[in-house]
Amino acid sequence: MNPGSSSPVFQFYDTDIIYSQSDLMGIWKSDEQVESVSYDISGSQTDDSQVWRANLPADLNQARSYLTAGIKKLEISRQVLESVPSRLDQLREELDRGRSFGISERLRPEAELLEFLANSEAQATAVSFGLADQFDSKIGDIFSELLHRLRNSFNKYAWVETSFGERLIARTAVDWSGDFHTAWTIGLDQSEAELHSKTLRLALKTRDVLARMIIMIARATVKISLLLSSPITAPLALPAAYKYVHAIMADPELIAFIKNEEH
Amino acid sequence: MSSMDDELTKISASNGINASTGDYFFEPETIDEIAARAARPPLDQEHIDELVEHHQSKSFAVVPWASPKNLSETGWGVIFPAGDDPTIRKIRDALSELLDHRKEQAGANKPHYYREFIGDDGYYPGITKSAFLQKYGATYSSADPENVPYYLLIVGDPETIPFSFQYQLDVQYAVGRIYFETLEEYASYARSVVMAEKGMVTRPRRLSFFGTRNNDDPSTLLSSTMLISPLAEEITKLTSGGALAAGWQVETLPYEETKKERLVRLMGGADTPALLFTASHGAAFNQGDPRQLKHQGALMCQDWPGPKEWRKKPILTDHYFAGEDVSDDANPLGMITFHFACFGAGTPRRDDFSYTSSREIAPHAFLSKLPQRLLGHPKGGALAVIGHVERAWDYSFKFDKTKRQTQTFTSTLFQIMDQHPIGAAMEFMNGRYAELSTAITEYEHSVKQGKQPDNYELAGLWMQNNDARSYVIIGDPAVKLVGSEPSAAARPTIEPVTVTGIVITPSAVTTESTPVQPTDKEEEEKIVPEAADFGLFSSLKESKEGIQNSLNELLDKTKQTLSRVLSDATSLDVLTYVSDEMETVEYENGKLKGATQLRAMTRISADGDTIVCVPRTGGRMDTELWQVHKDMVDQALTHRTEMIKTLSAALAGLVDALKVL
Repeated sequence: MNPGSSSPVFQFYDTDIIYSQSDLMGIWKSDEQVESVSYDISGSQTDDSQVWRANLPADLNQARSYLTAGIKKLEISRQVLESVPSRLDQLREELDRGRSFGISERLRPEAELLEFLANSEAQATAVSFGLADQFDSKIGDIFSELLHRLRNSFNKYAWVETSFGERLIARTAVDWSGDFHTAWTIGLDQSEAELHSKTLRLALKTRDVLARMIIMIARATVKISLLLSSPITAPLALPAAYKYVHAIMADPELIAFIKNEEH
Repeated sequence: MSSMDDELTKISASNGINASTGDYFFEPETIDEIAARAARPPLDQEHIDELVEHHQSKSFAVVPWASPKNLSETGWGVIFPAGDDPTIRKIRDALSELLDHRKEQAGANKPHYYREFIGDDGYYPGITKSAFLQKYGATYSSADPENVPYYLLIVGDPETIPFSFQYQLDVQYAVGRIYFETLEEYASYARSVVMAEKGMVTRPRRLSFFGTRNNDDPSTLLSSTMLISPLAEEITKLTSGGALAAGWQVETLPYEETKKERLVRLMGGADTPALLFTASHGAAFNQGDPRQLKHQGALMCQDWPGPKEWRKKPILTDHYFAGEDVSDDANPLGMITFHFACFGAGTPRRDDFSYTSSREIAPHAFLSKLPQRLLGHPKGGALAVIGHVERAWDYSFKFDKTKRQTQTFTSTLFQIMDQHPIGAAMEFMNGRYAELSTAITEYEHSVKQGKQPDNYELAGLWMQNNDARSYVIIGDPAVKLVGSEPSAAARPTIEPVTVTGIVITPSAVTTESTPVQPTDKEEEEKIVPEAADFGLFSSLKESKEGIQNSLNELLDKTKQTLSRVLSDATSLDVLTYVSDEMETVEYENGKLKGATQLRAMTRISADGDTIVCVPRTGGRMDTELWQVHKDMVDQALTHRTEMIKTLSAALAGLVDALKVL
């Protein structure tokens, strides 16, 4: 939350989507999660837009640090995502070579993936049990929502707003072709302009990382399907990929490792 | 025959025999039926417009300062299917000998004249030629290797990278395609081309014409008298007149000798020439016939007794020459062949000449086995095969019912014999396609201006246009005839390649249902889940289906968006306003509304031209606002580049995922 304000620092709003996730990339709070907003965020846009709003505190340094932290988080997420195909290739090579590691010897996401696949395949071969029991249907719903959100971003323009100390300082519309239309409040200084520039970068990067996440889940689906031993269980590749990608992105050890590498 | 019947026969003279039934492959159509199809809007107006523009501006082929014979000036590139399917990497590795060779040639002066379109840069389903080119800054004008190389080799089956993409790209570029079912064949073909270009292969400097004339068959009567004979005569004149290097021998086989056993000798046997031209029927099969995928496009020989004697009986394998007739002992290394025959190069899934019904004629699009076998032969392959996709018509060599036009064939053969890369030599064929498209457009225009419609003229133009479009190169478009000696006796073979023999099954998978003929193993695998599916998986299946639908919807949307971004967005606009009432600012119909003042604008066109309107205050530039605006321009450019990359990667990823789900 923005100190001194009841609004979250970063808000996201899309009229078409009923959200089941608590936030977007751990940065943007969707409108439903906002308990008492200072004003109605949906009032400033129409159904053909997705609204991204930064409610920055009046302290310039603090405002900058919120934005910098958000952008950093997205950059790390992107790097982590890009590692998905090579990690799965490595896992497959290890399995092909017949190397047997215990769960504790693997990185946690890989260990969880193998456990998930082993349990699912074991049940699939036992006729008396339903494979469906193993499949968390919520995963399907969440993934569908993610797809829907991304599809919407192709349909809608992004409406990005920055408030600094509760003063609306800039609004930008970014349409599907990438054109930028920005209105700045008169009398803005360079440091304030920089805040909106970063808000814009944060919003567009979030959209890009979301798309990359879909891409990586799709690519992981293909690679995980090669790990399955039976065609019966092929449909499991997608939920397994979804779980795996999320586990990787949430893996604190890896995130800490990337942070250290950057220092 | 009545006068109308006579015309009907002429309009239906395609070179295809239904080998499943022994009859002609397609039912005759009336001129009015064909004209009705032609009168409908073309399938791809953008492509037709482009053809017309090219024909009128004569801006085909590579930029004029590049010599088509010099790859370091034209560039060379290879296009793989997009995605990270490990098989694609294996194919790329199997081709590495050829790719290294081309890299050395094309990238000699400018490394970027050699390009590999692979991974995210590869071809992804649904992308148009223009969208593909614009992604790399290329436009409708002549091929400029600064953006995209002139010679382009497509690697993939025609379901994964469709024939339509190849036709469209071929208008400006020199395009060929290879697709094999084993890695050994890729490696073998790569080695054959490299050996040939390094002067390690020679062939007798001989062009052989092989044209059948089956009894009671009007099609081969026409092709032997109006194509083979005049073509051989014209080429002979050119060789004897000194237009070509000395020592060329032109041989025309008497039609009585155009039997299967003769083709065995001509295609890898003792009589193998440097260049072989055949004109015959192509064997075609009904969908579902077990011979279709193996034998479609095989060359019908004089062994077939003709329609009158043989009609209504299935054609025998003794009547045609198929891929499997090129034995392991054959040696087609270094030869180039040109086949005028229906389906000689390949078969689309749907009837290309039927606009209204678009009926399926094969379970999936595929390349004919004969060119695949010739190119991928284990002892060294042919360098290229020129052939026809779908039916080949007599329109290719005649017009106005009785007049012949063989100049396109003559020019193409002449250029091949004159050591032009085969892709450049095919520009005459592509030029004819553009010329015919222009003629259709002009016809339609004149009818709109009041000219009396003439169904015969329109039907003829329509058939000629589709016919001309469908000549394709199977093989690397940059290959040229091997260094030949007048009577070279040496017939080297290649060293055996050592690639592990993994069988690559035709991908033949799209987001539509694809009834690929399953192997026994595939059949078993399909049966197992169905047999075990006593409702146990219903929840999983429902979720899966829901996700598949969502993925498909996203895939469609991604395709549309990418096409719009690449094709329609000709410029990038960045506009900067100021306002003293920010709450009133809204965005509507592509513009900011409310109490705003436009202070700066930058418009960057697709060709890099930039228009800038600078903010001024009191007669001087407002540097602070200008700095803010410049930052927005930088962000917009970065954003658009990233967006295109992400959309391309999304398409490839989604298609791959849908294949396994």
